[in-house]
Amino acid sequence: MLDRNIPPALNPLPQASLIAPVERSLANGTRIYVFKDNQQEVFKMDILFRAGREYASRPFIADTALNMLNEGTFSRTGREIAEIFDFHGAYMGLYTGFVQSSLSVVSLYKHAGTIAGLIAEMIAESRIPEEEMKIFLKNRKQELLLKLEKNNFIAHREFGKKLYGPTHPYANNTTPEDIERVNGKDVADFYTSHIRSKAPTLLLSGRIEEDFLRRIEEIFGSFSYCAPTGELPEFPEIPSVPGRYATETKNSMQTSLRIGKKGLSLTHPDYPGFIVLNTLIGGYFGSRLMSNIREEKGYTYGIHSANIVLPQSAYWVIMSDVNSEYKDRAVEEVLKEIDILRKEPVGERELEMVKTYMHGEILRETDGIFAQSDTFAEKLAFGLDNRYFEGIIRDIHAQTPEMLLSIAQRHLNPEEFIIITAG
Amino acid sequence: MVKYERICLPNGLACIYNEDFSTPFVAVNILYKAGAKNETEGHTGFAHLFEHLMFGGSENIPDYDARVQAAGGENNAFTTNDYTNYYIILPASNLETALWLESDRMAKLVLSEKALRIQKDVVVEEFKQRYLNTPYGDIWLKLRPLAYKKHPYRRPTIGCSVEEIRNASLSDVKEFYSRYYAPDNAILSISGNIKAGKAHRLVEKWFGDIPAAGYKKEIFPAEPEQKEARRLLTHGKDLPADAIYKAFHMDKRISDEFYICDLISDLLSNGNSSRFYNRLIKGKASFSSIDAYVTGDTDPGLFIVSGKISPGISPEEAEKDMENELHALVSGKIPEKEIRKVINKTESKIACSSVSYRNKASELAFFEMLGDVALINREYEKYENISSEDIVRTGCKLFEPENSSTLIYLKS
Repeated sequence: MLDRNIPPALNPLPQASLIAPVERSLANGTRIYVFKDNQQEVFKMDILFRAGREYASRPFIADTALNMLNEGTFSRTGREIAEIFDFHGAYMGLYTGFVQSSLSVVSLYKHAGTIAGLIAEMIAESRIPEEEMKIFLKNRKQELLLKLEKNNFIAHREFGKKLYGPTHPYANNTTPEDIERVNGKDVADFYTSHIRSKAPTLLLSGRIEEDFLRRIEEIFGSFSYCAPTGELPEFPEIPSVPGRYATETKNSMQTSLRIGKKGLSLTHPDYPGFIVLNTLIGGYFGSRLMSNIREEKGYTYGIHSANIVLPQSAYWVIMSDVNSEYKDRAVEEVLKEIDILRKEPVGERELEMVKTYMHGEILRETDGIFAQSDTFAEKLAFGLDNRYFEGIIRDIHAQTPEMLLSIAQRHLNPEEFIIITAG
Repeated sequence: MVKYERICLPNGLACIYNEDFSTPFVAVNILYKAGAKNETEGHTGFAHLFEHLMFGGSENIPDYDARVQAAGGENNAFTTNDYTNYYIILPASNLETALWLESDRMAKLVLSEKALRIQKDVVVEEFKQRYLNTPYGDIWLKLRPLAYKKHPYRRPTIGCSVEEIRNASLSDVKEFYSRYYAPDNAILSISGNIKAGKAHRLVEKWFGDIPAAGYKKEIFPAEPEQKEARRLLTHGKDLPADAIYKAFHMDKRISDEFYICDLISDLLSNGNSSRFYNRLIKGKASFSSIDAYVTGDTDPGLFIVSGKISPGISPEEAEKDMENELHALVSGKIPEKEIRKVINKTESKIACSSVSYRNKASELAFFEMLGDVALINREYEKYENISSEDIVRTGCKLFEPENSSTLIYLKS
């Protein structure tokens, strides 16, 4: 007879099985990293440009310049470019970051050559057509206006402003007027000096055969780049302004909460302990905040926390949409949980569960050739590679209740908190 | 090509296995054939509320989530009109933990007044967060009852109102559980780093002794053919744009018509070379965003066209532009190359999706629910055989004004 009361034995989790990419450097400075798995039918190409928002003199210039890449070259209209991608079943995306921006494409390998050729042309010969740019800006402004209707967007902006100051790029404070002010000349200049003139980094993953790789080297090796990758402009960080701030909005059925402060960067010695603490308090479904504020009190559908690492900074934030009736009690309960973390050592059983969960998350994050290419791209921005994961798994397991208690006391001081409520 | 083995236990549990040794993980997916359409009048939102209660603990395991996390796994669930789907992703060496957890809550879930009270509060907050306190969030609450008059699809999954969610009693919960949460109304699929034979031996061990409920398939009232164009006007709270939503009745997921309609939606709005993108976002620029998609339900579903109108364009003008595009598509031959393009895109989408063991586990269960698991490998061929005539014939009928329900969402 089966005894359901006896749980199956648990097996310890394996190490992350990391794949070292094959690295090539071209004479013009282009770097290529290849994560090859020729069992795949699909290939993925990511092109990383040192052309993020921090290089632009005004908001939304970097976003616009990147998004104009698929709106036309000297020999093709945007429509023709789109026809080629779609006809070959290729999915292309553009992403603007703070330092790095990227173009990513996924497609069936049988069309890899055509797609790579087209992308090279888009990067080398962007025409930035005025009409297309106007439509792009109009639609992005509409999107922003819609986001500004949402309490959680408003709360996050207010949080960013108090944390970095309203004009810092990390505050993400682009306004509809900023978008209106974008003009073709600024966009063209940005394209020329940052996208066109700096050697990019290429990541190739999935099915990558030798002849395709040679073709890539040929195409991307033929460009000449005149600008150095570029020193980042300095953005003086103003000191954060701790305190409690309330914003009224027209949607008052729920209140968006943001509670947080500056966080820890990847290289900070307390980083591993801090992310264990973060997971414990709000980083997974079974976290203390979820257990208390959702599962015990029913004030919210979800409450989460995260340590967000930015190129030259980091912040830590708790986020939730709560029943407006209980917004003050929700804030109180959050502060109570922080206080417990600063006073009582974490129990062994809870800590063990959090470590195993985090270890599992890292294995999921690095599972498969495409995932490893993605994590590699992220780590590259910090001068690291996927070997980072080996170290962090070890460091997570090394945390003790005493270490965490002292990290909580050092880095989670409520007097430094910025508390935002919107709605 | 997704290879799988399908075996049914004597208690009626359908089991499907896909071996994928490219990952160290397994995905364990359990689908219960009970969704919002199985709810009774006045108790809408119940199937979804029940999904929340499934995490409250079972006879031998009071702490479901903690056990998943301690095994290095993650889990979640979702509810649709047709079914409720639960999954756990965890290292393959801990597969048995997932089966222990899932079988225990299938065999005997613990249901308490306290858990019910708190989960009602949580679901009410979810209702507000996703449907009421967000711009255009309530469109499904309005569009479903406009498009459906008889079939239970007229009810949104989240429920018709916060009050109806509050109505649920513990005895309703117990009855729903004993009726629907049984092996003969469930599908278990496993994909990942485990041999099918080994997985099945463990499944037999944990699920084999759970008794069947003798579930009898329900027949839902068919939606009568719509005979008149329906319209509804609604006002937002100072939103940045007016919007249009149109719903057209179409056939069920497993029909040939589904594939044709899906292709029509791709011709209209998939990618920057699509008709909507080039003629309505660019071109006339009457919309800032516009989309067409199919709901893909078990019973006959909906073809949805929705768009946010550009500033300075009246809703009447925008609607005319939208309708003109729908009619232009079905009033002449569609170029071969344009059809080939959306078929190629579908081929690529299927190839990308079959890279993931997670997708394979959930899709295997989904196709089994539709009644034909083998369809997972025949989908591409269904698209590939579609001709211009099929599209024009199906589209003409689809886009008839009498088949439409239009919701005009004004900004204020």
